Amino acid sequence: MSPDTLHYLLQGVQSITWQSVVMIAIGLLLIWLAVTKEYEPLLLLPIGAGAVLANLPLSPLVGEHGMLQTLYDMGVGNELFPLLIFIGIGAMTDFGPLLENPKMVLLGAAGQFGIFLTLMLALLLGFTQPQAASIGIIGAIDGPTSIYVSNQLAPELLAPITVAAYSYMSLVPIIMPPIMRALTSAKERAIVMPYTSREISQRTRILFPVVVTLVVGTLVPFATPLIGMLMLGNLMRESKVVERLTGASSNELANVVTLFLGLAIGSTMVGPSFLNLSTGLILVLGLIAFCLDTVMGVLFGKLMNVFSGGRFNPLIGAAGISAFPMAARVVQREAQRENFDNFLLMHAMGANAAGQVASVVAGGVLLALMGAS
Amino acid sequence: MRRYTITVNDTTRVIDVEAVGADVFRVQLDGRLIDVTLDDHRDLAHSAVTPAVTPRPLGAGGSATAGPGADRGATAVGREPARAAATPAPGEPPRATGAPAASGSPAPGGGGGRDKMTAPMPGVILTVDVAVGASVRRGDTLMVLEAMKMKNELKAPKDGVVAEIYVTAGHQVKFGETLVRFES
Repeated sequence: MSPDTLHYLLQGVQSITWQSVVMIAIGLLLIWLAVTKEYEPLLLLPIGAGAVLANLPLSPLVGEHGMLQTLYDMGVGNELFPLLIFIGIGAMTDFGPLLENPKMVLLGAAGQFGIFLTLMLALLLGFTQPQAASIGIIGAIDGPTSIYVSNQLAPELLAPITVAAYSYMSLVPIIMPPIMRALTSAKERAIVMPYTSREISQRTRILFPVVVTLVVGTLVPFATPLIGMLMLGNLMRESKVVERLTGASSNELANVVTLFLGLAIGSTMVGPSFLNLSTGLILVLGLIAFCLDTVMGVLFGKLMNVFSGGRFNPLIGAAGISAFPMAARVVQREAQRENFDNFLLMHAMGANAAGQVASVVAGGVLLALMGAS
Repeated sequence: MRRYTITVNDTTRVIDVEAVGADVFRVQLDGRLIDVTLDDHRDLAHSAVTPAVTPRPLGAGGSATAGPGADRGATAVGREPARAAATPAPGEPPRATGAPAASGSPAPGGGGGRDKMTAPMPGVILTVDVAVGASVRRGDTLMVLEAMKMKNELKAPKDGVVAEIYVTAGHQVKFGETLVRFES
């Protein structure tokens, strides 16, 4: 047996680097979070698996024609996957609570302030403008939007931004309540807002996605792909004539694409490009963006409380940050903690759905700003 | 919001009525805010507002609970149809066996309109964790309502004995639909 044979047989072991070991550990950590903590398991598990598979020594999955690379080229590099997921999200989202209470749009807008504040912070820390915008978009607290925007502006930061966005989204129930409690008094949290049972006609429900697409698409052309797909899914849902398509979009398509997207994103988490200072900064900035969004949302809720003469529960503002529908559930839980007879869920869902749309618009605005520069 | 100008004898009053929910109204009279809850119309719950209903003040500023509303002549008019129509709803759970007798008798209740628990929002009843005849304390979980894919525990609004349960697991409920009635 020549030394060469031994070399070939032990090639894998010899190619282990400390970076790949760390990345495999991070991948396993994500899998662990998904399995035992159930933090966004649908995404964190494939992302973790992708990271492990891509970082195994000499992994054939990431080279040219490797499966993970193929998935990346197929749908992440060209933005296809996040858009397909948006069809599914649209098909799953009920904009009824928003239509019942249109003033919630204001909260959806307020929940996006964190994006721009974080953007400025990132600029101060020395990130380039497109990079800073991509980091800020973590503050949209919306996975597909983050992927879409960061891939266009700063593809090199895609992996950390995606991981940050989804990790923090899964931490909504942990991150938000302390902020919400700190900013509101027990009396404010206990404000009861009964459900307003206004019937929304099917015509309105069908017109809503059409009108939003036309208006947003005209005003913010860069948001057209995202808003168009979101509203297409919603139009299919509300039209009630293509239930097979609605079902396929919200189940099969969304599930398959989520798997592909997770694996592809995970495969970009390769040691040398992931393990650096900017990843750490992105994780910190993402958290800041998240907190700022919540703060601004709650503060705006307090403002609405003042204007409504004390009848508006400021907790609902926190649901304006997007992170649909977890944020609305957190609001409901917090309100009920104070007064178990208080059901804010429908109001919060309205603000939450508004936040979803506002995130997309904010993403489009960022793309427009950066595209212009 | 609706504004009514009502003249009784020579006194003219302006009353602003704002519908807060299907059965909750905020009434402003001479600068005073009054929370009004519509009387219990079990089988009319699906119609948001019925003309026969007479508002019953929960107390000025929403502080005190209503007095014995049945004493008011006008209120009695509103109550009668509801009582007469209080036959068991279709799909009523078999466990509500004690119901027919109970629903036939008026349930005046010192707590005014609080002798029942209504659905706070539309959704599907997932579980019913209480049986007819059980005595519950304020804050006990009576059932779980799933709305917007979130499980919400519905808790007893007051101490009391469960007289009737109108829903079973899997029941789709509308906002304001009566779920549980308590014996006074």
